[in-house]
Amino acid sequence: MKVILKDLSKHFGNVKAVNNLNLEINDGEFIALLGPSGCGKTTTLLTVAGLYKPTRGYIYFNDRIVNEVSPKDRKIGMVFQSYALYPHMTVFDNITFPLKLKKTPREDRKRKALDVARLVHIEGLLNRKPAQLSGGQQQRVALCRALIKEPEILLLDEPLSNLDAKLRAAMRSELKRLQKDLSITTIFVTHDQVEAMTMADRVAVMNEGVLQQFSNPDELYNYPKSLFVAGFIGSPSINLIDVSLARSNGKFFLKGKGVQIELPREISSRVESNSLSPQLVFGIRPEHITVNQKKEGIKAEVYVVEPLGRENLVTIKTSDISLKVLTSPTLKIGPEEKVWIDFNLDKIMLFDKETGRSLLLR
Amino acid sequence: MAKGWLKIRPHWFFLSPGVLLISFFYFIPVVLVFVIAFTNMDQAFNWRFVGLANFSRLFTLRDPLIPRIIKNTIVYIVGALPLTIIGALLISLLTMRVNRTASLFFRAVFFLPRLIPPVVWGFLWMWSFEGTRYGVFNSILGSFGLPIIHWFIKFPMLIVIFANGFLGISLAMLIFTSAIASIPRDYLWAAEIDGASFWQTSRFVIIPLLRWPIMTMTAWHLMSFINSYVYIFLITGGGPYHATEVWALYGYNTAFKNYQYGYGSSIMVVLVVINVLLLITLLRSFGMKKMIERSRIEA
Ligand SMILES: Nc1ncnc2c1ncn2[C@@H]1O[C@H](COP(=O)(O)OP(=O)(O)OP(=O)(O)O)[C@@H](O)[C@H]1O
Ligand SMILES: [Mg+2]
Repeated sequence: MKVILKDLSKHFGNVKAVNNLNLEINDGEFIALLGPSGCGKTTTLLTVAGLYKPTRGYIYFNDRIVNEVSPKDRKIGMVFQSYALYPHMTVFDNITFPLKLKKTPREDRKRKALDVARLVHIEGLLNRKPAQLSGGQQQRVALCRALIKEPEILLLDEPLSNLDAKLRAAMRSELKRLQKDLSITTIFVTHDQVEAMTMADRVAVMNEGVLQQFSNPDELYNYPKSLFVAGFIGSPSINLIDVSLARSNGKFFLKGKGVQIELPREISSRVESNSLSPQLVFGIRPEHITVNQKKEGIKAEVYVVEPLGRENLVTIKTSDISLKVLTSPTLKIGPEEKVWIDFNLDKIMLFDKETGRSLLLR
Repeated sequence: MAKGWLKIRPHWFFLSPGVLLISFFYFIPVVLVFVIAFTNMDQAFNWRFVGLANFSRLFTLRDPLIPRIIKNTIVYIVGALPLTIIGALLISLLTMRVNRTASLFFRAVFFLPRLIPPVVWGFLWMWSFEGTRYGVFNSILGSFGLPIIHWFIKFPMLIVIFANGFLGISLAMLIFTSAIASIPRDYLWAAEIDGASFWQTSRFVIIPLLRWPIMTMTAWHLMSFINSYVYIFLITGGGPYHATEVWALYGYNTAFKNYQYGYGSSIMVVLVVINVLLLITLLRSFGMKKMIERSRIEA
């Protein structure tokens, strides 16, 4: 089922929880709604589910407007952040609750319950009560209850956030695999960017009720449309430096505190046509800065070295700015050592300081 | 020295007013009732011990009223208890469906009986069902040109059940609505998405989650209906002709209307024993300990 949100808004009094949201989700696609706490992810999901009525705008399932369709007729399966498993029912009764309401015969209920339980390997737990299950098992039960109805849309509200790190990583791949096997259109809410990036086909980044960017993980990481997305995506996060654009002898320079970078011709022409004010923000990811001891580039000093195993996260200070850099562990450097840094100019990002918009994208 | 004494056992000092009050008003009366139950104390407070005479009068049915009193008590409880619990549940569930203001209004209305002094509440019912044409319902009937009904002669027990049931409802409803309000919203949403109607949600989700409040209120009102006779006393006094006389009221009437203090006390002793047995049964079967430990709803 294709899902389209058109100019969707949901306000609670003065709070614009969701503001003018436009999304087009393809049939069978797995998308993530990503954003900081309180940005309106859950509200969006509940509006798609029909539990909230939109203040404005439309929700289409395929070509049909479903604004007035009640939740039970929307063919959705939903997993709540709290899982919302009924504590007084066994796992079996929880899973088959939707079927019981439809007066499905007990034999069919049993068969279907076993089928979905096998999908997520909980067929041995059917007689337990939710309180006797671990968080991961509860999460699977909740998933089963959503799947048993054979929904056309799956809505998941932070289903992994209550799990410990290891289980979360395991469930990530399992859930992704399951979604691909069943090819149910899925909206997955999370505030964890790693989760969003690793699982979803496309990620919708939201902030304060407004959609910031809706694209695939690669594009989101390498071509963020705004300062917010650039800063939100990526861990360790991107280096952002306030600079101003200066021009001399037909060349463009970025000037910040203690740094001066000459822009390649390709970039400078694009910046010139896009920028409205000379106040810019220069962004570069930690892996796109190289550190050398051969006195090439900008002179700087090592502040801290944090070994991450595969690589080291090094904080470097030059004049007043500090930068995060990822280096190979083979590069032996320590605090207060003098080093030289170089930017990979193909990978830099530039944003208008005022509007936060990227200046490098058309 | 007072100071030294205080230092050693200050808690006794602070407890003493309470202990004295409780022993004076609770403990001593119970002991007195038990003693008097074995006497033939009468109007003039003349008494001597008569052994088990009072009890044998009760249990061998030499008192012809006893079967009637027992039947009344059972009918009264079997009527008023479900009315209270089911009525309160219905009202609490229905107030979920209306908007906040309306729900507050209805809950306030059903809570009113608790705020009205018992005498006024009793009088309201008496006056409403007054058998002459001056009673509220009879004057309504009269205004439609219908003949009056002798309510208290025709439906004495029903009136008494409803008068007490509404009081029960007001408390139970308060407990149930607050318990419903504390049910996580996600449960209700999950049920809604899964296609549950309002009644299905109530039956399969809400009511099971209210198990403990329902049990508490059932136990509470069972005890209350067995022991309290104030409203029956005020509305019918047990009449007409013992039609609404329940066990507790019979004990009262025997002692304070017929001045058979000895016999009245023995009736009350039976009530106390029933209470103790009931309490033990309730504690056992409901797991009252668990009930006290647990949160109000299973969430
Ligand atoms: N029922 C409500 N009434 C009033 N305000 C609400 C309601 N639900 C949400 N809000 C507000 O709307 C905004 C978005 O809330 P929402 O729950 O959608 O955030 P979220 O992105 O899911 O956050 P989280 O990651 O913390 O779950 C918040 O500012 C919140 O306070
Ligand atoms: Mg949320």
